This record gives sequence, C-alpha cells and structure tokens, in this order.
Amino acid sequence: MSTLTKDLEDNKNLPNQEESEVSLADSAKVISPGRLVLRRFFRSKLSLIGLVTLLFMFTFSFIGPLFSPYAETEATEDYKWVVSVLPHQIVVDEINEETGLEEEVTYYFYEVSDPYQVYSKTLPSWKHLLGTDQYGYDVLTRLMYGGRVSLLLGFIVIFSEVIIGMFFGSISGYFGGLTDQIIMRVVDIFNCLPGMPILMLAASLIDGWGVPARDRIYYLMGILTIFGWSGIARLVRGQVLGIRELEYMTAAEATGLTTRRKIFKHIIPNVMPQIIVQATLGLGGIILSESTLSYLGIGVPFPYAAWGTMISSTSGAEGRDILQNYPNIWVPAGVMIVMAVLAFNFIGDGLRDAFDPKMRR
Amino acid sequence: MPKDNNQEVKKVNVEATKSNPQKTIVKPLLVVEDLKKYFPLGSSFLAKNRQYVKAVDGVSFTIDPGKTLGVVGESGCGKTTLGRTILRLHSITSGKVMYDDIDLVSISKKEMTKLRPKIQIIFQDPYSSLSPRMTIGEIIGEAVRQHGIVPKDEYKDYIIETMRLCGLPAYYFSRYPHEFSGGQRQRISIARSLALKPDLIICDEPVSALDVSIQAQIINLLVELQKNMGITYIFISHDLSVVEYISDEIMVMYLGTVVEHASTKQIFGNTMHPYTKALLSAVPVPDPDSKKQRIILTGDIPSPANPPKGCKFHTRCSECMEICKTVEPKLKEYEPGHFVACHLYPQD
Amino acid sequence: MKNIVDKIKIKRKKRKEEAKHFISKEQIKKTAKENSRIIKQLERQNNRKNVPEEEYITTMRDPNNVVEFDNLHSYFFTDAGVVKAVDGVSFDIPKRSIVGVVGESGCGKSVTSLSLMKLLQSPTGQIFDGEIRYNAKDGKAYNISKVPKADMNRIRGKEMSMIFQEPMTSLNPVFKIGDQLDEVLFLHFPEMGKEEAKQKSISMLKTVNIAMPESIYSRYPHELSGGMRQRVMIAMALLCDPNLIIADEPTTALDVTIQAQILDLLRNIKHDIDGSIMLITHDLGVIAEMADFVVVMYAGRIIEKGTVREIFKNPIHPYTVGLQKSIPALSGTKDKLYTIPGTVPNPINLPNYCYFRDRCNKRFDKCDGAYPELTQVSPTHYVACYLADEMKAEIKAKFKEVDKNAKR
Repeated sequence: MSTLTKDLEDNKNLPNQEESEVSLADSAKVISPGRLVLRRFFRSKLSLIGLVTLLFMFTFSFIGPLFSPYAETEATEDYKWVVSVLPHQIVVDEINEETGLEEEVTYYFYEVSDPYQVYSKTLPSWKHLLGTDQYGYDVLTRLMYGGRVSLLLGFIVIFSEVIIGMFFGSISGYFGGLTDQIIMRVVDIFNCLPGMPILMLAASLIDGWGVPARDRIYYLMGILTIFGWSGIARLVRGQVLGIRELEYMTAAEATGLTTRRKIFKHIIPNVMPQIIVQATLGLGGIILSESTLSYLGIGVPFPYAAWGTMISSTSGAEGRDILQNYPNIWVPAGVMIVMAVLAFNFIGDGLRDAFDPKMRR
Repeated sequence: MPKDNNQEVKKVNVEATKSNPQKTIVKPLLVVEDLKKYFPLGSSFLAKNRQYVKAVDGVSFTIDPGKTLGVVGESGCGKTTLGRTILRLHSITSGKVMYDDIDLVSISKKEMTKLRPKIQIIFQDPYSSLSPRMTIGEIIGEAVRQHGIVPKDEYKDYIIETMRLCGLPAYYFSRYPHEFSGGQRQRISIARSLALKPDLIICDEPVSALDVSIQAQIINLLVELQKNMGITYIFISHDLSVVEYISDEIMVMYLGTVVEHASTKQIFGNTMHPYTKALLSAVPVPDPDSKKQRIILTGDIPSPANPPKGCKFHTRCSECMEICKTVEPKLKEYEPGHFVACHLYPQD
Repeated sequence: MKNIVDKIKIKRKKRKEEAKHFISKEQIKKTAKENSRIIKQLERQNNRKNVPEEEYITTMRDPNNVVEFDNLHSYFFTDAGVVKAVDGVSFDIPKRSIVGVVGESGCGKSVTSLSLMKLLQSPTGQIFDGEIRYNAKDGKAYNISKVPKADMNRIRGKEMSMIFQEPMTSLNPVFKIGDQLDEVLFLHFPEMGKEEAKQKSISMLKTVNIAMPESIYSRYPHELSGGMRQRVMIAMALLCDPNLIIADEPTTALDVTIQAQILDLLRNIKHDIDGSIMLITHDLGVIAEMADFVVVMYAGRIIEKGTVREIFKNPIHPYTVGLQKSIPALSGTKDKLYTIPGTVPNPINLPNYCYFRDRCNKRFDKCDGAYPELTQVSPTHYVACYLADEMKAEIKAKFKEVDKNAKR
C-alpha cells in the first residue's frame, strides 16, 4: 500500500493532500447542519413564542410549587356555617275582607335549611392569588400541580408512542409483504376503535378492579399510548417506504450490511425529523385527551389536581354558582390548556419548516 | 469475451498455451449465461395474462480479470438493470451468473452477504448514494467493520489510507456529505467500494452527473486503481467517448438485448450494427469545423414493456428489411471476437 | 471514572476543532443583519406597482443586439455569507445568432439566465448591480434590472421564453398538453378565440416534428417520452414568436440519439424564427455544433468570450484549454486524461485575485496581483487572463522587429 501512495502522491492530478493546508474549495466555512436547523427554527416568531410559553409552563409547574406556601390538597380556609335559602311562592284563593269576593293572593316566603358547613370559595385576594376553590384548596397551587401531571403525562405518552410506533412502522415498511399487511391491518383496527367510549369503559373497569387512586394515572398513560401508536406507525411506514428506494439503501445492500444496521443506522436517522415534528404536534392532542378525561371524572382522580378536574368544578352541586361568580376557579385551567396546546403546535410547525430543505430561507 | 447463444465459451486461451507454453490459462472472472430479468407490470394476482417489462432479455458474456467491459446503450436498454441483477440487487428471473465458479443465483442469502465485498457497485447519482446523516468516515468504514476486512486496531488508519488513495484528504473524515461537491462525493463512493478490497466493481454511469473536468479526474482515478490493484470493471455508460477511453471490450445494448459486442478497436474501427453506427454519429464533437454526416434516427425509443416484434431495432432502422420485422436476429461472430445481431449479415 | 473523563476531554477537543470549521453564531447574526437590510432595500424597489415606463426605458449600445448584459452582479444573501453567483458579467447576444454559455456547475450560467427573466429566488436572490438591456419587439429598450416584478409578465413569455433542463418535471402533470399550450396564447393574446388558439398550437406541434399532433394535443404529459416532452417545451417557447429563447441545458437529460434530434430541431428553428437563442450547457460538443458565439464562465465571472472558432481553435485562458483537453475525444489517444487539478472554489466570500491561479499550470508572477480585466485579443475575442497581456506584448514586440527590419 505504501508504494502505491507514493506513486499517487507524485501525481499532480490529485488535490492537495497535506493535512495542514486546506484548499480554497474547503477553506470556506460552512454552517453546521444542526445550527442551520436551529437558525431556521428561531427565524419564525411563532416558534419562539411557543418555545417561551413551553419554558414558562415548565418552570411554573415544576418549580412553582416550591414557592407556594400551600399544598395541593390542603384546605386553607376555615369553613363557615351556611344556610341555604330557597325562595317560594304560593298562590291561594282567599276572600278579600273589603270586597267580600274570592281572589288570588300570592304569598312569598323563604325556606331556610338547617345550617351546614361549607368550605369557602373565594375570589382572588392577596392571600390566595387566584382564590380558592369549593374545597378550600388554593387554585394557583393546584394549577401548578395540574401542570405537572399534564406535561409529564404528555411527554411520557408521546415517548412511548414513538418507540412503539417506530418499531412497528419500520419493520412494516422495511420488510413489506405479509409482515406489512398484518401490522397495517392491526393499525387499521386500532384506528377504527372509538376512543372515548373505550376509555370510559376502561375507567370503569379500573375502578371495578379496585386500583388505588394514585395508580390510576399510570393506567391512563398506558391506555393513551395504546391508542396513539398507530398514527405514528403509519407515518413511519410511509417514510420508510420512501427511503427504502433511495440509492444509499441500495448501496448499503451492496456492501453487505446487516438488516439491523440498515434499519437503525440508515433508515431511522432519516425518518427522525418527521417523527419529531409529528410528536410535538401530538403532544397537544395528548394534553387535550387527558383534560377531557379528567373533566369526565375518569382521568386524574380527586383529590389530585389536574386542569380538567378544575374545569369540571363547573358541573357539580355548586356549579352554577362557580360558573357565574367565581371564574377564577375554572378559567385559568382552561387558559393553561389552550396555551399548552398552542405552544406545542407552534413548535411543531416551526420544526417542520426548519427541517424542510426546500424552504426558501 | 462474448458468447454465442447455445455455444460453449471458446477457450481461446488454450490455443495460447499451445503456442506459448509459458502463458497460464486465464480463467474468466465473471461468466453470465443467458441472463433474463423481467419486471411484472401491474399487481394482478392472476398468473396468466401478466404483462412483463423485459428489462434484460437474454444477455451472455464473460470478463477476464483486470479488464474493463464497457456496456453502452440508451435509456430503456437495460444496462443499469443488468448491473444490479448481476449483484443480486434485483432477483434474477432466469439465467446464471458465475463469479469465480460460484453461481450467484443459487447460493443462500448468508453466503451472498459474505461474498458481497468482492463485487461492488458505484452509482450514478452522487447526491443520493450517500446517507445524509452519517459522516464520511462512517460511510466508508461501516462495511469494513462488519466484514472484518482489517483487524480492529488498524481500522481507522486503513480508512484514512483508502481515502488518500481516492484523493480525499484525511480531514474529511468527520464531515457530512452535504458539504461536498458531486465529484468529491463520487470519490467517497469509490472509497466506500474500494475499502472492501473488491475484485470486480460495476460502475453504473459514475461520471454522467459530473462536470467535464471532474469526469476526467474520476476516470483517471479509476484507471489508476485498476492498474495498481488489478480490479475488473464493468463500466456502464451512455457516453461513448468515455467508454471508448476506458474499456477493453464494448457491449452495445438495445431494449434488453445485445446488438453488438467486440473489442474497442473493432467497435470503432469496423462498426457493423446500424444502431451502433447511429450512436457513434450522434455524439457531438467539440470541433466546430467537423462537418459530420449525421445519422438521425427517426422516432422515439420504444417502451421496454412493449418491444417491437422481430428485431427490436427495426422500427427506427434505416436499413430495415422484411425479415427484420418478424425474426429476431441471433448474436453471431463475424470476425474473431466481434459479435453482431443483425440480419444485414449472414445469419447461418 | 478516569476513562469517562478522558472521553469527555477528547470529545471537547474534537468539538473545538470542528468549531473552527463551522461558522460561529455571532458571525451568522452579523451576516443575517446585513443581509436583511440590503434585501429590504432591494425588495422595496422590486415590488413597486404602477411604475412609469420612463424609469426603465433605455437605449441599446448597439441596436443589432437583442440583449446586452452590462456588469451584472447577482447575489444570494445567505446566512453563511454572500454568494456572488454572478460577479461582473458583460456580454451581448446579437440578433439571429446562437450564443453558448459554457461552464461547469456552480459557475453562474443558470443564474445569469434567471436574472434576465427576473426569476431569481427572492428574497435571498437579488440583482445587486448592473444593467441588462433588452431590445423589445416594439423597438423600445428595457433595462430589466429596473423593471419591477409586476411589469415583467408582459415581457416574459411574449418576448423571451425559456426551455428547461428537466422535461419530466417542467410540464404540469394534471393538464393536457393542448391546454397548457393554449394557456400561453390566452395569457398574451387575450382576444384570441379557442378555435384559433387550438389551430395555432397544433401547427406549432407540427413545426417541432411531432407526429400526429392532433392526438398529442389531447394527451397528458406522462404519456409522452422525454424527447417528446422537450419538443412540447420548445413548441411552448415558440408560440408567441419570441425574440429570444433561453435554453437551459435542454438536452442534458436526454439520450444521445434524442439529443441529436433536438439539436437538429433547434438548428432548423433558428432559420425559421427571427430570434436568437441563448444556449446554456456544459457540453462542449453541443456548443461546437450549435453556437455562433461562446462565453466561458468560471465561478461567476466571464473568463473568455469570442466566436466559436476562436474559442475552439485558439483558446487562451488555461481553463478553456484544460476543458477542451480533458474531454476523451473519440478515437483519441489512450494516455492519461488531462485534468485540471483541484475543484471549483466555494462561492462564498471569493477573494479578489484570480481564483483560478491555484489550479493553473501557467501561473506566473503577475497572477499574484488583482483579478485580471477582460483584455481584447481580437475584435470579438476577449480573455480575462494576464497571459493575454503577455501575448499582446509579444505580438507588439514582433511587429516592432518587423517594422525595424522593414525600415532598414
């Protein structure tokens, strides 16, 4: 080999081979691929807003509680005695003393109940920045803890969905044939199952099995994952089908690489950008699902805080009252949900634009 | 050396040994016998009435080690499919491919994988033949590592050495493909194939996508590697001037069949088939004064899914006779080493 | 534990080394700021509406030219720096002639033609400086670099048209061929009736040697082969009787025999129409066959221009010489192919000396100076190389000798 190199080095037709000297063609500096994507991502203002919102929510949820003097489920206000008063009216036929005729007389009276204890809902005050809810818990603190659940749930579920979806999607796309058909039919079945009814069924089942309240959340994660991986699998399969035909895959085949290496080193890194985009967009959906479930009472159980449960306070015994007079209990949770979903959507869009090599800037 | 249909390989070398006892018999490195590759059209489950695209329709040839066989033809002639079918990148419909006495068609997938380092391929498009998310060092080296071409501790030095041989400075090792131009990427592809110490490299239009001055560099590199390492090439191209420069023998294909096969000198000195003549005259010459008499073929290249009956070239041939429309001419030898398939010449 | 620390140290060192190769963040920010300022200014100019004609009407230097490029600078403002794709290009396209623009990929020939049609990819691509004077059919001369985008539609298609490289993707796959041809006519001649347009399209298909034009008229692009699609493109380009056809590598994607047909067609068309063709290609053989004048470009500048015989018989610039020598000519020698060592330089931040000198085999001391100007060697032959000066000096000295001898 050494004689050959000497032969070729004498040949002036090859570009300069010394380590230290860089030819004019190479000396120009290039933007690294990672920086290019970041640059394009940050160029879009919406993505920046999304990112900042997300960061804010993370600090709010995870670091916020350290600064709050209240606990998640601590009744903070004294309860007070309350009587409920119901107005009534009856119409009675009576003889008017003056005219002697029968006429209708309406009597108004109030029915007063026995006094009972109730924890006070309060409006925002300096003591409780967002007031307290119907159980006396501090709304702001519960908002923070609820954020923890939503964000953590979202990320864990998406992560597991991506792992499972990528696995099935890549083997389905790569091998084709019978494997592809079987896996895709399974995906079709999952797509046909109605999400909400099954989740409600599952919730009842879980209740029936006597699962402790604290663990409900993990079962919830599992169920959400099971319903979500099919979308990612289908997307991955589509991408793999396209990449499989590219020439560097033929080259990998021609150099005799193992199947495992081809899938993991060649296909999956090229599929990742699309998956990342899809995952970020899916996070918003997961948060919405979780909130819906909690609203329906089958998600995060009472007394643990979740944004959905906080909104569900509007449909209860004191619901009308809360809806009309105490917006500080349910509006912030709704706002947080909207912010979270929007933030993830903006980030997902920004990432998609940043990864797309055909974008003009 | 080309092969007649239904005839054994002529062992011309045996005569050589008789007259010159010092010479050893040169065994052909690759023997291809009546190779056919049909692609089914449509996805009907019915077996009958299946339409086929006859991409390669009965091709036979042999190559001696250290030589270059040029395969010329236009789009639809099947030269790319031929290259890939030989490597079993497409499944073979029928025929035999004997590499060093091993039939590549019948061995198992595992054995084929073990054999792959010996027969390599370089692709046409430098922009899609390198995985965009791997560094150059990884691209060149991963197969080396897998097949264990060199022991582990020599691995990095070996890759850098291979890169030097192909004219790539060592500091390219950790860069990504998108930073390089077409010519450099093609060098990387060549390095990737070279690192596996192959005996045969199929070059599938390696310089067609490159500029003229880079073409010359890559061709020089290929010739140099052949001289120093004894690699055999199958050089597929549509550019006749490049093929003439680099090949010892040339095979002209049209719609999946071989129309002419001879040594380079014979093809250019004594062109026999009308298609080859038209091909030669169509090449634009970089000389404004040359008043070449152009043979302009009429019509377009027929689709390989529906080839003309009889001689596949008869629809565009200026010398078409009645027999050309019905009977397909066979490949016959008219002078030593020069094979033509055409009714213009005696077919008996 | 020590292993891990070592590994981290090695990674850090590698990253530092690689950082020298990649542009730093501050650099990118600075470039981006500069770029957006310049781009804003140019875009504002470009996007004006209702601009009075006097602003961009000018006069041609030589009324016999269809297009005059005068010191054209077209830049792309990217985050990594300013890519000077076309950096001071001046040449003419005379009437009724074929001008070939040769060069390798990245030399700026496509960008030149796109600048002429004002089809540069904005906002990053802009005509930064220079004039492009176009001699319109009505006798007026437009300065294309000043024409705002809104008014370019009158010129494009009607006065100059373009044939692209990829026939497979240049036609819209969901419209019939006939509809696409008629569309061009309706755009530029709004009073034309449907029947009239159909007749004109069919007769144009006949002109480009398409057999059975009526049936092709109602087919879709995917039913045609590459050669036929390219003919359809040429037909589309000819429909409005343009003054100038720009052919951007029209035969590169086609087979050799089909290429011969298309080139033959283009030659015949040049006889019929009254216009010029600007032929962009990297194939010297095509240029030798088709062109009357040749312009050789390298990394954004013209290094040699002249008639086709001058360029092929008497090339002066070492790059032109090298290009011709590195083609393996049919039935040439079997010696090693001549190559121009090295590669085309990176177009970002090109230096201001002759950047071919590192690859040049005729480099001498003068080359260490600034970039050589275009020197005139004959009434039509110009070279940007100090060798030309040397040659002229030699010829002058020779003449002086002859003169001296004659006087004696």
